[in-house]
Amino acid sequence: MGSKRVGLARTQALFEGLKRSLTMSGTTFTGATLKSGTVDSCTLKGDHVVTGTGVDAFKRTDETSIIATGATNKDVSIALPAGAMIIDVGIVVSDAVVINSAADLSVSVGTASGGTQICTAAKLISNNTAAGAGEAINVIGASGEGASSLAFVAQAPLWDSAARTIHIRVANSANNITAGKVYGFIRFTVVK
Amino acid sequence: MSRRIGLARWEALLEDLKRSLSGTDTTLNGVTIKSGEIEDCTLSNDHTVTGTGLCGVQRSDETSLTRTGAGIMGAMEVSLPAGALIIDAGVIISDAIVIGGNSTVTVRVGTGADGEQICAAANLMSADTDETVKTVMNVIGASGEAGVSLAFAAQAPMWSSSTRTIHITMRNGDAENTTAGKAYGFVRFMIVA
Repeated sequence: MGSKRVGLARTQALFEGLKRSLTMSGTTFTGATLKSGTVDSCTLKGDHVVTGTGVDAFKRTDETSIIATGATNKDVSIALPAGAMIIDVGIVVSDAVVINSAADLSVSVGTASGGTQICTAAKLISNNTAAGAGEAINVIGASGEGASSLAFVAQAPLWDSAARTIHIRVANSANNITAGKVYGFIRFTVVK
Repeated sequence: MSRRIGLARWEALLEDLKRSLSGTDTTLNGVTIKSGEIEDCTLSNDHTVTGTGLCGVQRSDETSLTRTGAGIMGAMEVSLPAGALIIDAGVIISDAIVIGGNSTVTVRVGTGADGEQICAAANLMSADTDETVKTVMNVIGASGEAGVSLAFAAQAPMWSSSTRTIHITMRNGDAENTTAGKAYGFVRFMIVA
């Protein structure tokens, strides 16, 4: 008598023939692709990577210590997918910044390390010594002690058909940063 | 003769599929897709963003703004997940505001009830009696009858590593009665960490 085992082709046919609603709580599909379907009332948790159109997305750097002695530049970078248009950029302070004496802490954004092609320098801290955890500076209006936000440069290359890396610089004008961590971030939408 | 197969065999078959399945009209409820891809899909109905990489929005319930005299017309609350960085906040007028006489109506956003830690009070209406349905006032440029938008306060606590509640408050600054009006408060955010 032949095998009674259900094979892959039969499994596929059974699955495709279901056309019904399955309750599968507790089931995880790892590494699967959901294509041309509908994602309905879900929790979008964990780390997502957006390379397609239709949703606003963001990428961030690792949490980065900016502790340094003397006038220094801390450079971080973010890789954007092809076709991404930048819609906001900045940093958020995740651990309070402390400078041992008054100084400027500026943020700038460019297409090369230390560049200002996207945003020229704006001061998160202006001749002062601290920025609190949770504070942010970005293009859409958040500001720190320096009370100024970043601004997009006129004719800035906000979109690129190719994948590229954007560089964010946090520059301390003088004295020593004895505490402080930040994330750099970019919000973007893939236009193509 | 029965050809029933057990769960272990069914799981093994599913895991071995590694092929493209046409699932038109099939709905999988309660499933988690992990470390996979979502390609050319429609995101329908209400989603909750608690992870990184996407921007989310949370809104309050639709809130009635009717009240007698001056004071808080609407106290709206929005719960944010841990690690959320606020990228916009505001109100949507979902039912036209009608006030008995010229009044100033303000909107403020804070971390405590009636607070202004995120956005100081700004005028939605300035010495007027009504605000049109569908009007939006937020940080990124939308404004109401008064022609001003909200603005993030300097050194505002835009991010928190913990879950928190953001309060969006609408106030009538004058003694006139608000006889109609509803609004949603909303916050757009992204999870940084």
